[in-house]
Amino acid sequence: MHSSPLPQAVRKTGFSGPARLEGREIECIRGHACLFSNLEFALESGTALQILGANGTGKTSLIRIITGLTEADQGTISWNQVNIRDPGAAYAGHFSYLGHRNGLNDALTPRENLHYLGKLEASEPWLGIGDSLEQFEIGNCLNIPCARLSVGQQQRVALARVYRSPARLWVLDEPATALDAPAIGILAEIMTRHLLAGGLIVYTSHQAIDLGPVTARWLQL
Amino acid sequence: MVRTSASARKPSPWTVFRVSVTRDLAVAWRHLHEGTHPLLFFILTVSLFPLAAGPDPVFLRQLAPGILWIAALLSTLLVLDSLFRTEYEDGTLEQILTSAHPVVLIVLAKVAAHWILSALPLVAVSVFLGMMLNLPAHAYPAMVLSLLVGTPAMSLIGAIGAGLTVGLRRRGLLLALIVMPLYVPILIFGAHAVQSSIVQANWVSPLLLLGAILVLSLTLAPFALVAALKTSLH
Repeated sequence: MHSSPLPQAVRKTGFSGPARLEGREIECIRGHACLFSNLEFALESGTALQILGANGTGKTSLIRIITGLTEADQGTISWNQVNIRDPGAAYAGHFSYLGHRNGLNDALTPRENLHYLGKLEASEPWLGIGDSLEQFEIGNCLNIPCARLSVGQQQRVALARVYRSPARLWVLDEPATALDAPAIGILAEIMTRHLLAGGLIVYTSHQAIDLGPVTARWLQL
Repeated sequence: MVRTSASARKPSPWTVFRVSVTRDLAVAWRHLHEGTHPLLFFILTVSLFPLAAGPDPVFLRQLAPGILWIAALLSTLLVLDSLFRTEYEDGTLEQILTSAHPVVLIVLAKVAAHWILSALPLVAVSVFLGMMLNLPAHAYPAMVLSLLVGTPAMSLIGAIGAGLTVGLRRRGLLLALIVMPLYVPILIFGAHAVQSSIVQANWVSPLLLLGAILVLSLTLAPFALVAALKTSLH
């Protein structure tokens, strides 16, 4: 783990009430190949679900189905017993998504990027921009255009965006990509904190992320 | 360490729209040299006509509405492809489509910023180009107004095409081929308004029809655009 102690920017209050993400009979077809079918999963508040599988087994496809960006060929995803595709589901406000493309504009600084992306959230982020970057030990990059940051630093900025999001569910596709060992330690710690506060996480990772005392489930594709 | 509580202060739709436009203007400011391209293209295209068609002032005056409108149309087309390109490549588009706010509003803000950056300067410069083409003084209001009303409609309709093609690797001229036929009514009424005002005929009617097209595209195009973007990201 990293040597310096993290500043303790922790949510004052956890999430209240139960929350449940459920997938039923999910099927995904790419071209002529069926990636997976009859896939079932469920997770409640305080639990993480790691999607496991070799390259090309459909981890990213499943992640995108969970975010609603892609529609499953069969089956439904429901958030608190409501199908996420229902017009009244208001699902988008409940999750924060980090994909392979980090969502940061090269010309803008981390401050400007996080300010804009924060406004896309359902409510104001619970943590300030500077504090969230400080969590990932890149507080000094606040005003440097993202094009001049390394890939690892950009990934830290993208993770800071997820960390300050008010959303309860985190959907992370390979969050540890390009991170060094200390940064993976920080990632594990903030994921653990989010789960302990009653959040939910769905993620894929080829690197081991140690979630400590928290319940972690696996889904093998 | 300043801690903000998890209060549910929801940004108003107007705030989201404003922040979105400001962000796009800031990005454009950092790439200022690219931003001048449509304007230079517009000026160059218009300047080519007197060279090819001869400097006869009477002849140029007759051609002026057509020249200005076709040049404006082409420069609008030229920059359409960049409307969602970076956002698609860097993942911002995914964040926009999974936003808690009405996606229609956010993409409308993107088109608005795009119009401010690519079309508004054309309208300003058209005044000087009008002089070059020997446009009579009484035709300027019609020219400026028709461009002011017509170009946002072109940006809105063109955005649908840009949304449809943003995910394609080899787009080539596909976007122009999709969008150009849809620009025909705008071109007809826009050029007609300027033409009518040159001969001091009624130019308000074609302008009003142009306004109707703008209202129609303002109300319908954002929804089609969201559907197009969703398809592209599927």
